[in-house]
Amino acid sequence: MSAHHPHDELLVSYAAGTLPETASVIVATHLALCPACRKSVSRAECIGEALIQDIAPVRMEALALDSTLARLDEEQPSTTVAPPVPSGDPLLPRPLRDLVPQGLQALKWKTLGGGFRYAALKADGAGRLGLLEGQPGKATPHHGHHGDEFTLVLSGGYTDELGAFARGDLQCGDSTLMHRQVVDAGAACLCLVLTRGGIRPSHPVLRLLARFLPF
Amino acid sequence: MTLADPSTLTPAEMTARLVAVGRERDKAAFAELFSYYAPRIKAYLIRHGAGASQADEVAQEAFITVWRKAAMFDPAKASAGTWIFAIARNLRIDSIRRGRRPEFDPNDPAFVPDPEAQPDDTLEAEQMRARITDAVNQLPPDQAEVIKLSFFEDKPHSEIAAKLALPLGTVKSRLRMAMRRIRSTIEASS
Ligand SMILES: [Zn+2]
Repeated sequence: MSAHHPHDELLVSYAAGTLPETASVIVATHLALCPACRKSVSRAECIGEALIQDIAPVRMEALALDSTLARLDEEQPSTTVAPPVPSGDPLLPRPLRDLVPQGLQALKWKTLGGGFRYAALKADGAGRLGLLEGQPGKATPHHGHHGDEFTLVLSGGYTDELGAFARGDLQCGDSTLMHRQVVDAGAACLCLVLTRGGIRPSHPVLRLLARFLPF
Repeated sequence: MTLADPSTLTPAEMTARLVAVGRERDKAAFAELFSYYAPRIKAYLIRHGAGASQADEVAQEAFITVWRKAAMFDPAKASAGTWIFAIARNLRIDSIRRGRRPEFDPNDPAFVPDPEAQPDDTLEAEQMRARITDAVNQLPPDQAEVIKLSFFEDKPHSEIAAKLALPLGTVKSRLRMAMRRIRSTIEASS
């Protein structure tokens, strides 16, 4: 069971359907692993329904019901099938797996040095979504971001100033978060990360390096 | 077809109609649900920036989806209104925002299922809906306002904060307070 969860406002925005796609992917992937947050989302959906009950209805066009009834026996479009789980990969939950249909090895990985590599998946108004993998025992530089930094652990684990993070845990940091993530010994750590705003290293020398970091 | 005035149906009766649509392909029950919810979905879509005729089309499309998916509706998990709202929300994202709604898949091998009995599982979905509706109606106005804007404005909380001329932190803390109130109402009464 996860120990670190998204804040309520993120779950409410997911339930309301107002998050950009990248942020929805990271929230929905956490939800696949976290029954407690699924419960919060279904409560938030009840709130949405209560609010809809409250708005003044707008009359449908005269033939709307008849033309809908006339379409009910139309053939159904086929539904999409889940992509297979490539052998050897950690089990990526849907909807994340839909973004990695050929498996992890087929992604374009960029070596970051220091035992880390990064593969970009998608970018939009919420930020850049990608996979970050760190080798056992390796650490990121002490850093922050000029915006939100969300990290969802998919396999292995890491520890920083705020705690220990394992599969299913979602760390939601804002621009005030400064941390150094140390990968647990024993296994590589794979994380889904959503970052907004450039990296903010604590040490001036690292600022130069930051220009080369893609996330 | 003559129908009962759907506005006189209780939420529990709505849920029974949706079950009838799923199990018996009951078109009269479908028409009742349509008459009640389609004009509300249309209003919701207009609030999200759709034109009247697009909102009409998407509301009809939502009901085609209701028909197709009704067999999967589980009255133990959601009331009819909540379930129909979720369909309308997803179609809004597809058609008005032209995006995609990423969702978890309960049949996925990586999906972590719900643990068996949980304290408030004894609350029926319908009771849960009723209590949450009461709690929403009793929110202090400042909390109710941010909750409403969160559902009816397709905007990040930073833009909602700008619109209300409030710091982002205030908007977030009002939302968290509202959620905490709603949660404690559910827990106090279960
Ligand atoms: Zn959670």
